[in-house]
Amino acid sequence: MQNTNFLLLKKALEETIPCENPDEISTETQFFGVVQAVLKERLKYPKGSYMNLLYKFIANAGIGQMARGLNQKPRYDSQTNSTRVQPAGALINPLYAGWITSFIRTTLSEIINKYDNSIIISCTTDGFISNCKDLEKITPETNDLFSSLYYNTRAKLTGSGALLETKYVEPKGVIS
Amino acid sequence: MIQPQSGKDLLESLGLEKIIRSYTALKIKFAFPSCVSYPNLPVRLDFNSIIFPLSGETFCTGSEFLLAMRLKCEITVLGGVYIPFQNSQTATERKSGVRVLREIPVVDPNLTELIDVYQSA
Repeated sequence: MQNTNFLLLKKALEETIPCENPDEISTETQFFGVVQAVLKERLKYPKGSYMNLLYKFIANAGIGQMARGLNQKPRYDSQTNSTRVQPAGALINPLYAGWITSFIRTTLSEIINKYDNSIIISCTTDGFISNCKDLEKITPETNDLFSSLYYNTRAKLTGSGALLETKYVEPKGVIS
Repeated sequence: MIQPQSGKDLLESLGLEKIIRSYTALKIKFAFPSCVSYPNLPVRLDFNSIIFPLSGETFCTGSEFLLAMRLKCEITVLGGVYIPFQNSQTATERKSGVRVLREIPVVDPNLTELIDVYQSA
């Protein structure tokens, strides 16, 4: 059943709206330069080192700040040692925040729909639990609009592109 | 503002690049073909739970709409907004980028050329 679905879907994807050339769609916005400069600095330090992780944190922090205080949820505040509704940050922008989260959701959806011949049991924000092998070798095909956009932008920012990365391998899992 | 129309018409009138380089929010009615294993349109049940059904009515963004169209989903747009992003950086934004980067040398004493890298880009 799953294989039939996969073939039908593959056919549907091939017949669908052609994405002429994802390389020509620019994803550069006003934050591109800042993130690029910070990531360039990050690459000077070895992977896993303190400064490398600190620059990763700085580059990632801007995205979080754009959505800060949007959902009006009470959060723990270490200054007052109590929970309170978080106020909006200086970089708050619901449009950019919405765009970023939806882009990642869509890229992930595109990837799991494309590789659904393996079992995927859970998806969270930017990752999934699956029995796929050789994830690092997967590169977007020309018809994959969102994965190509993500892959190209990442290559522009860090100099090397990688679509997927194996974070953890569980040898005794439900689907292993 | 986006008027009620079919998903196909909206895609033809706006085009791929315009939808990606903008914030587009839409209220839609949708039905995926049964061959789609992982439908990508979320439907909110209450404040904390969402499901991804094969058909329903929901709010979504431009990128989600595009992928759904690529998965051969039948979409009727009930309404929405289209807010394009700027194509180039203004002088004020450039200045605020430099201001953000100036804060960083506090954490890295060896850092000197980060702002030069940014300004030369």
